[in-house]
Amino acid sequence: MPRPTPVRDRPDSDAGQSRPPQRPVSRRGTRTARVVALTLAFAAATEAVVLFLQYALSISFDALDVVRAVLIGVTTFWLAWGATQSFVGLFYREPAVPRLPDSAPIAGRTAVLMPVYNEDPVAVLARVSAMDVSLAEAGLTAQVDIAVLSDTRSDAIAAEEARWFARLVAERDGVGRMFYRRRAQNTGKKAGNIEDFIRSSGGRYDYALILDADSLMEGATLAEMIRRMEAAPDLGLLQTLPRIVNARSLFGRAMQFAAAFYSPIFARGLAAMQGTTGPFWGHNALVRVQAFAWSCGLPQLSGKPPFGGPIMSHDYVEAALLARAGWTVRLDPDLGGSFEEGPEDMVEFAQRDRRWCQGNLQYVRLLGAPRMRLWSRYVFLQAILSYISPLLWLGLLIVSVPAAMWQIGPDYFPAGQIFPVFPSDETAKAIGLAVGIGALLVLPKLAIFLKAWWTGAVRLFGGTGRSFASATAELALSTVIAPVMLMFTTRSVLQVLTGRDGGWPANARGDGAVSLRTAWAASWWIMLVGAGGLIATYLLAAELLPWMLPVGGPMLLAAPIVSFTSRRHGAAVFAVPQERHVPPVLARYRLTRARWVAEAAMPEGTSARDLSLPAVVPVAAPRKTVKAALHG
Amino acid sequence: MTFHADPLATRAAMAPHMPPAAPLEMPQQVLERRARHRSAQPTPRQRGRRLLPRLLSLRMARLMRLASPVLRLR
Repeated sequence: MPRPTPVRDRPDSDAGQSRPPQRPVSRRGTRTARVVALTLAFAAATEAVVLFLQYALSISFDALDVVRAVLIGVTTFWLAWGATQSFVGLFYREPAVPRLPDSAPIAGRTAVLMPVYNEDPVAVLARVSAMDVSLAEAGLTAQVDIAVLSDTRSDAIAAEEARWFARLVAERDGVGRMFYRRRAQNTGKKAGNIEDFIRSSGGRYDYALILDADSLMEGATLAEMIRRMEAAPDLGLLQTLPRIVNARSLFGRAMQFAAAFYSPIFARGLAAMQGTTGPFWGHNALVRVQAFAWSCGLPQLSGKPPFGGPIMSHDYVEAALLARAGWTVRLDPDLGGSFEEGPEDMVEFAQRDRRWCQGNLQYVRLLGAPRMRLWSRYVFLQAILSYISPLLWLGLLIVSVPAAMWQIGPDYFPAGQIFPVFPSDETAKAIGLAVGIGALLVLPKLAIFLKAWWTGAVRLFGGTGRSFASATAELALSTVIAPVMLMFTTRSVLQVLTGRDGGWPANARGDGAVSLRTAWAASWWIMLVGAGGLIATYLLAAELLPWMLPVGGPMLLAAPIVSFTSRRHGAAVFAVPQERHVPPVLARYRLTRARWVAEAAMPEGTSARDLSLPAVVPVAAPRKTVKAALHG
Repeated sequence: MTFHADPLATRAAMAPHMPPAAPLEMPQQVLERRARHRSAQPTPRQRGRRLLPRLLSLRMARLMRLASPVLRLR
């Protein structure tokens, strides 16, 4: 079989003529965005180091100050990189992308792949049912098959999956277009699950929509994605920006708000900088099956886990491999109608982060992988730095205590001087440094709020006052939980570095609030470290205590914070558009799930009608709603 | 259809719903640079000897190897 290559590389290709004369993703624009962002981030880091050195030199200067200067430089660069990404996103104008006209029929066949691993079968298959209705509305039933790819280890859960799958097939008349397969061994985890399908059945399909067990997508969105892919023969992967839905707790709703309010701008910045070497987040993305098959066969890394063995964070690697083979990998942030669920509490978040941490640190092995694009290597480096930077912040705090303790006062009478020499007061520079770092955290969010206010987008979030209250509450909450999350990340990194394989525990989606007892069990050590740190600071360098309190205080209260933020939260703040106008696919999912759950609890011989629940999910949704969902 | 936690029964019941076979080749990608060792497990001594040719040209390496007893460069 000839190796498939992007059409632009084929000498006999007529793609140049067949592609619509629209402005493609500009390589010059991508380069400009990268240069601007990198320059600004380097400039901010340099300025931070210079300010710190000026301050340190005015008092005394020793080896610890060199360490502090390096840590300040790296952490500031990382913060500034995030900030510049948002500023690029604010000013980025999305280029017109080629798409097949609505009048042209879709030729390619698509498989919707839903990998599951010990998930709640009713919830997963209710999502499939809702998406199938949506696909039918978009006229895609003939071109799209759905495959539930089970890696579930428990036979009892697998039996439930089979039961509800049979129910789904019967209800949606899915014989011959809805498939279920369970692997005997879950080799290669999720990546292996997808790979197994591509190897055994991929030849039947042109495209595959890769989902997560908690993913939802409107049929109209998938239709639009297929049209874009059919019009761009060099497009190997098209990633959407999934919005978080169904959050109920304070923590979950704050994340849901942040994902809806800030993420689109950050994603635009990311799309501008990544260009054709775009991201893949492992789900809610459409891949060209031939390109994926030929480019993304993942090997096992030599050596043992955590750095060797199967590649755990496979998505970034698959994106890099597609780019290496010459395919375009693109993020189109304008695509709406793509959803996922997020963690409901900090413990669940930390568990997920533990898996991602191990996968991301494994990228150390891939930085020198042969023939990778330079930007792909930089993306790996970013992924590593995202987990290392909390350790650097912690290191900076720890080093600051002995540095302050051993600080020698200024020498008023240097050698050969009769009259005292008063060093200039550089305290303003230290304060300037602290304010600058704070600004890097706050300014992007403020700028995004101002843009939303200016464009009127705040109306979708409950109006100006409510949006401002939500943004302020999110900022306050993220400030309070940041030190606790910093400690969870630190522990994850240390576990990985000491060779402790975290494994892949299933996500506990939809659980209730975390009790104080559970929160204590998960975070007592953080409280201990917080108390120890504050006491040590008070005893060794009391003048640093006010600087340490914003970090040590929340650590001291870790268990109550974890428990409190997991409680159900009303809609006073953190309103998001998908709460006010529930997307059709989400509404159908909720209805179907409620009906199935009710039926499962009913005695034999009764029907859903007895519970006043709709026996048949309403099929037709107003076109306007579908269109609104598609465009976010 | 009745489903229970008997894996064989469940598997048999789900067999008609298996995705249709349409195999596709998926070659394994190379992500690690291959070391240019002649043998799989070089001894530390061999490793030391092979470090020089990587860094220097072949002729220079030969010269250095000749001089190594004197220079102690291994």
